[in-house]
Amino acid sequence: MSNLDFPKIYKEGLHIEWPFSFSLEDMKVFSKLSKDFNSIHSNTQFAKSKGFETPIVHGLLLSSQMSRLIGQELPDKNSILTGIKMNFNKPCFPNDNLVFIADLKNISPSTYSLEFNCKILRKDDILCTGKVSAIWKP
Amino acid sequence: MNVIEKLLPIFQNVFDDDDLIITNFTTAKDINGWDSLAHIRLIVAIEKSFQIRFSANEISKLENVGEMVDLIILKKKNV
Repeated sequence: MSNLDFPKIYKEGLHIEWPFSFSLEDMKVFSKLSKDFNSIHSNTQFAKSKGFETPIVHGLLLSSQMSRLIGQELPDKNSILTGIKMNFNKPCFPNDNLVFIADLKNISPSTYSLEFNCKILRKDDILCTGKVSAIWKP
Repeated sequence: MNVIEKLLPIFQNVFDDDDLIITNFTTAKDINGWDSLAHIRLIVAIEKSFQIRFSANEISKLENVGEMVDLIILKKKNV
């Protein structure tokens, strides 16, 4: 492994956030890609029978924002996703206005590793919490 | 608890093997799945658990678990 330094922008406490939402159309696309066609994600009557007002967004569609973090939203494009952990605390519904928040929690200079604490908010509700790890590989 | 006893659950967690046993003579060749990515996860987990930081140069010289234990002890003395 080389002895490069992390760019100075990578400091513990680095804070990144963005707004996003998923439509029913997005969920249909995800169902097709993942082959998860469970009616809880598409059928309002079925969702109501499970106690939800509308279909709920796939958890792993929400997790896709972790991929966006490492692939698109970091200060450079040199990081590769190595792990994710996510807890789904509350249901998310189509067209909810969400915010993804990531805070750089740990840097390991010896292994060029980054670890972020993440959460997804809907106003004051914390829908998801998790961790994302990546290696910085220029 | 000595260092190797504290390392054991870290190794078991990283390599997802509750029955894994390590000794001072254990090397990467002795553990299934000890590849470069697992090595990164292992080093990061050790750094967090012992609240120390290694340099890339230090970890590149490690030959076995015993040398890792010695390095951890040295780092903790110097904190």
